[in-house]
Amino acid sequence: MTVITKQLLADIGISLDDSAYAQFTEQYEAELDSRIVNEIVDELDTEQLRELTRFKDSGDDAELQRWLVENVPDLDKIVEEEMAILLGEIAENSESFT
Amino acid sequence: MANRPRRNNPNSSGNNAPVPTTPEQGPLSEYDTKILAAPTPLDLALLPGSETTSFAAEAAYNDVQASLDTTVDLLKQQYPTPVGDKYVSPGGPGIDMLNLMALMAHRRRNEKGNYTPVQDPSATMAQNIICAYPNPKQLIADVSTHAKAMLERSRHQGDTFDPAGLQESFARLLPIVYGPRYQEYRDQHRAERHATATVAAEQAAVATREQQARDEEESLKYTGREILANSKSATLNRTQLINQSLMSLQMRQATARNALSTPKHALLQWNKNRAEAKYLRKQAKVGSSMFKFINNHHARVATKAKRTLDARSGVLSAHQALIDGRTRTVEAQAAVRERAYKEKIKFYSEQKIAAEESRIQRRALRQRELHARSQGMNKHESKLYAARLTPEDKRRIRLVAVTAAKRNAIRQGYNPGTDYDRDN
Repeated sequence: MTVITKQLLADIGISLDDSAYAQFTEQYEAELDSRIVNEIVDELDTEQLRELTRFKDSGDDAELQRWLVENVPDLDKIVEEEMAILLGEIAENSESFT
Repeated sequence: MANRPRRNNPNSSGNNAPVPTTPEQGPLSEYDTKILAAPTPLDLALLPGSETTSFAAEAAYNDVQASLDTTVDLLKQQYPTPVGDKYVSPGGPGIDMLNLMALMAHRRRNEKGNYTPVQDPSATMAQNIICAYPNPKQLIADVSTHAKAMLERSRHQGDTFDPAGLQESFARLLPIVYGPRYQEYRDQHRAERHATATVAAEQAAVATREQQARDEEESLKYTGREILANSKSATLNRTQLINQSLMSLQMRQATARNALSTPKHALLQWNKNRAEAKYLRKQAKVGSSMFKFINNHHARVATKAKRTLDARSGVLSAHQALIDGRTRTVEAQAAVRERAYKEKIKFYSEQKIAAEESRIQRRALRQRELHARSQGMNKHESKLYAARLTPEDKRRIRLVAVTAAKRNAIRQGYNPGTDYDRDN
């Protein structure tokens, strides 16, 4: 599911062709995901990090999801912050894209 | 009986030097206090006027004189003076070392003035040494520095300077000059080194433990990132959250003035995107089953999703047409679009500043919480503690956050201006 739509870019004056747009979204969405993951991991203390590593081999995705909800109460906030920051960066640099 | 007079005795010659066993200026360590409390053989002979009033002082002086002379003679026999050596006198290394110590004492007490060696009886030199260096520790440091310089000089000049004789002379003369105080110095020096080594070992152990903890945490974080990045459901969940946040961010912007990006239009776009995603998901399932009736069911569901998508696309297009219709001319549209870009950019930039502020506050609270946990509070208590920020703390955090966020924005070439003023 595309997060940064063409419309969103068009709203801030960025006009890209299809291939450039595909490259752009892939790069920025990977960056956004990486930032969110980093923030989530930074929220955890050592004990929680140890618990998280239990899921490495178990592969129980549903259980991991439950654990995340329980242990990272600020997950929504983190996502919102990181997305707003990244969008802000894109907007502030919009002139360099055109 | 005695080698008189004691010309260089600072106390008998009216010199205003401190009393020999008086501690030097400055705060003394426990070790130094103990060293200076121990007596020297010449304590009696160093009292003002002692040479004229005390037979005991006279006897002590003579004992030290005899011991030093005997040791100097023995050292001379042990280390015969090499022919042509510039730095070992005919008197042998013992007298050279005694002279060196006396020279150090002279320099310490008289910044200017020449010193002529072998001028005084050896016990008088010992008196001067004790007066200048009540604590043998400093004398040992100074002589060591001077000996190193001599050794370095002899290397460059190709002399036959042999430090072994001087070193042994030093080791044998010090106990005679300082007596019990030298023994106390050695005991305290050993204790001090032991204590220093213990402290250093403890610090090293703490540093090692901290480094191990940091390494472990980094390793755990790395693994955690891998797990979160590779988990399909966690990734999907993040994507959903991102879209929700994006939606809410766009809804927050009330820019109905230009009619290009109304909240209603954003909502219609959002609905269409969701319908499209659902249709693509359903369509992908068609033909994936080995049973015909299941495939038929999938096809029906996909068709329904397509209808929904078409309907929402139609609504969106109609709304888009409505919006486009409002801006009649190309020039008007361009001007409106330009204004809309600027407003959007400003909006996103300010949202970014707000998000950075929020992130800094969240991190600060988390740090407080972790600190509370490290102080033994349980999870609940630590959360309460973290939340109990004083108004001053909050103001300070906000100030730091906003300043940092604005600086970031300006560094990236965008000046948020004065509209975003949440410093107060």
